[in-house]
Amino acid sequence: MAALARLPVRPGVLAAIVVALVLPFGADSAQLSTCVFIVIAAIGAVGLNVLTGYTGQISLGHAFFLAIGAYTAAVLGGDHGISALIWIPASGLTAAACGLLVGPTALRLRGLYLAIVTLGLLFIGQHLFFNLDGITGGPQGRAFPAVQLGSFDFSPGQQLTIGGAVIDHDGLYYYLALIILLASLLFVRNLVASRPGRAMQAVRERELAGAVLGVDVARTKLMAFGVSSFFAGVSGALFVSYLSFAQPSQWDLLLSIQYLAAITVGGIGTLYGPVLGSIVVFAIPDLAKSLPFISDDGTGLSPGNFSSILYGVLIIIFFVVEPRGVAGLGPRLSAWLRRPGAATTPMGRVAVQSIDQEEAGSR
Amino acid sequence: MTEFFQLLFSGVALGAVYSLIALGFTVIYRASRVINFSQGAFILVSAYVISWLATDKGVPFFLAVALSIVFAVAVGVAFQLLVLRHLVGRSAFVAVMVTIGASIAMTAAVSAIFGPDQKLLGDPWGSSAVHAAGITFTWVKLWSIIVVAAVLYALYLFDRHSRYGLAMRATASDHIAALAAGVPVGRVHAIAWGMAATLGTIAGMFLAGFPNSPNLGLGDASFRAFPAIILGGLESPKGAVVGGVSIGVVEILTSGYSPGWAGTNFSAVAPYIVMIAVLLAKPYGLFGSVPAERI
Amino acid sequence: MARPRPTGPILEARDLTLRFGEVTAFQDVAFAVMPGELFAVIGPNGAGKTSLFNVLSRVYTPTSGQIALDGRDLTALRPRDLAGAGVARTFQNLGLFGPLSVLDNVLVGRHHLMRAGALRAGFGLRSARAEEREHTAAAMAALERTGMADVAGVAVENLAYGDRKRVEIARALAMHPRLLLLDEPVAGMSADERVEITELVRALHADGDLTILLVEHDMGMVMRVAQRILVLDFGRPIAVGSPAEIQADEAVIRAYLGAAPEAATA
Repeated sequence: MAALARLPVRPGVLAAIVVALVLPFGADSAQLSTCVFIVIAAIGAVGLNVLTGYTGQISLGHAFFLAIGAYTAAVLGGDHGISALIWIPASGLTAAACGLLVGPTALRLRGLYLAIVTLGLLFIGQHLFFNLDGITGGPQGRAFPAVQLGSFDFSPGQQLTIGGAVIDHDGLYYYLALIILLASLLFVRNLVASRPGRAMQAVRERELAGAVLGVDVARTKLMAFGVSSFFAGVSGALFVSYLSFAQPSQWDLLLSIQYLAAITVGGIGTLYGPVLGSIVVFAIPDLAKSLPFISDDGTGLSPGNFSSILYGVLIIIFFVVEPRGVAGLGPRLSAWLRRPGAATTPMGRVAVQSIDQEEAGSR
Repeated sequence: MTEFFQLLFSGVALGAVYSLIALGFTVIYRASRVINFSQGAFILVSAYVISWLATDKGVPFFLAVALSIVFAVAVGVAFQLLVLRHLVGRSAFVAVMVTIGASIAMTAAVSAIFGPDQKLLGDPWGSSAVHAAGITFTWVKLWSIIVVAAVLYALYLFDRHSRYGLAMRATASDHIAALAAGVPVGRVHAIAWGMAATLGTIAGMFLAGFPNSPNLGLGDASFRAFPAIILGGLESPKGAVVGGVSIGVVEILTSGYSPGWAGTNFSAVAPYIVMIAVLLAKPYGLFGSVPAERI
Repeated sequence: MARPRPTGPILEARDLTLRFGEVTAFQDVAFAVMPGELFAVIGPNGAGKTSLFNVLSRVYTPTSGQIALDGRDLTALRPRDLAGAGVARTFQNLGLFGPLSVLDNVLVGRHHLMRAGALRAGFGLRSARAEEREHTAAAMAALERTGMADVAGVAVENLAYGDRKRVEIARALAMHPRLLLLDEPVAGMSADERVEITELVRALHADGDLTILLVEHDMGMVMRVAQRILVLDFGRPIAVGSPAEIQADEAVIRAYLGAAPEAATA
């Protein structure tokens, strides 16, 4: 309840929430399905943004934590038939626990070394997932439980009627994920505007200066790892629950990179950047299918190849041209519109640039 | 015992290829403090270009390799000039993301152009080999070892005797000061990228040789070269080779003697386990030094 | 604000030596700073001032010798324990966090006095919000003292250099230190800014029972504010005394004033 006191009030945000709420009634089934994936992915991206965007730690291991959440859901919800009210948070907590477990290794390392170690974590994790047949189903994969709340479940074919409005399987997942996403945003919004969040940003900007001011750098990084992994776990659990089936090969480097792409394209170290970036990155493969020069039969450019090329190029373009990402396009646009008045004001210069300064300073 | 030595030889040969990849990381890191996550994509592109020229276009193999080097260098230098040049002074994170972006785009482009099937490399060695003491020495592996030794020596000479060798070291330690001292920093970075692309092409050639072939997974080898540079430290060519050979040997020996409980394909992750173990003991690698932080 | 004041020195260094391999940053440095004193360390470039400062703020560990804070071994503390021990510092090239607002920068200085963890903060619990309000008020008070309260919401990187230094000093004050370490507070400033910061330091010292140790290259500033001065030259202490004594000291004139006459008249 206390959290309500800090509801976002910016009109743009409010409008976006309203659009998001009515969206299932204007979208066809395929479009809605894309939206479900976007919203679920955005939860994970919001988490990665805490670690990479606000705390400045590069992780290539996000897919590993998504997987931990997914398999926690499988074991609890699938194998033991425990309620979704338990396995959704439990997925996050298990992933967070893993994050805290690998933390001590990661804490000793900075920048590039951390990126490489998290890459190692990803590969070691994938090896485990391929071989722990009892949990993961081995290379063939396994089924995952649909969300079940009491006697009501979210499986395909199910629907909920509220005052004449029919919400089907996709819609149910959509609203559930949307509620969790909004709660995540609220949490992160509170976090970054308070003691632990300031400590994270201090670590990102100048680790040593933060330490001299009394910030416990190791603890702060560990906390960021934990929070980031928690959201990854929840996102992973919802993802496989909606998919209903997944193979270990899905938790690969490309998945981690998609999340990094989402937060960088959206605007790293900004509150809503990960959501905007998820919309761009995770909609591309589905949108690509409808483009005329794309074909799925192996004769032309496949949707997968096309989207990989596209977001590879997008990452490069955003870093070179607009490091603030999509979130930075707004200020840039309004500055451009107000151009006759004054020079562009560098309002809210972001993480990317400030990580730069830290680098330059420590060189 | 024969089996052990056979595996050891294969391990050293694989390690030689890892060393070439690791040296590619090292030259760029030393000049610009960037870890090039697109090195794997360069390996992949090069192997396919060699294959396309040598088998589809009938170009003599070594000419195909030379042309592929020219192409890779052109792509590498262009990437440096068009993209990375604008990012000098930005953080390690930016370079990681941008080179990852280049990597996934290039890999997908290769897949789109050449399709998902394996290709033939068109190399003169094939599976030919010499046999001695019960061990099979394939020519492609022998050559990879010889070439790594030659490359290491050439880099040593470059370091010592070329003015760009010194310029590179100066640029690495402080690019602003180097710029002020009249070092052509842009050209130094471009040369580093050219060298890395060359190393990547040679690595791609050996990697795609017997018993392998050009396939879309070829670039993944670069990820296994990461443990090599971590072990060897990012800045030392000698360390890159020591790390590369160690990782190659660890990988092949684990594939030969892997216990059942470790699961299938355990050898592919063994290098990472070694890497993490080493980092726990020495956070900056066996030969790396703790970076000083200025305030 | 009255705290029981110990009678001994608040900070005492004995036989302090720092070496980096073959290079000696400074050696055999000894001094004692009394509670409430404004003590300055000066010396020409390369005299070892900044290295000494970094030893005092626990960034470097001395090769040999002792430093005592209130009679206890300072080297036993980790850098992040300093804040809790009542020591605050500023940085020569500004230890500020550029994209964060002025207020947030100062609030980082209150970190060690606050308690909220990720969960309490993230869920916006009442205790966390109350704590936030209380410390925001304290941070604003510190900003008032340095005249920066008006720009509390502005990102630090958008401020002029002199103003950033004021923010940094405000942050150090917000830490409620007994000992304030200032690392070249007027380095790189214009003449006007130097005067303003000099006045600010003097006012802060006059305000209460704050002990200040400052390391500075600018003779003019030091002579104006310091009560006692330690002069370093090539890593060795060559004189300690009041500004008047230092100005008359032969060795100092040879080493410092002679080498940089413009600094003496600044």
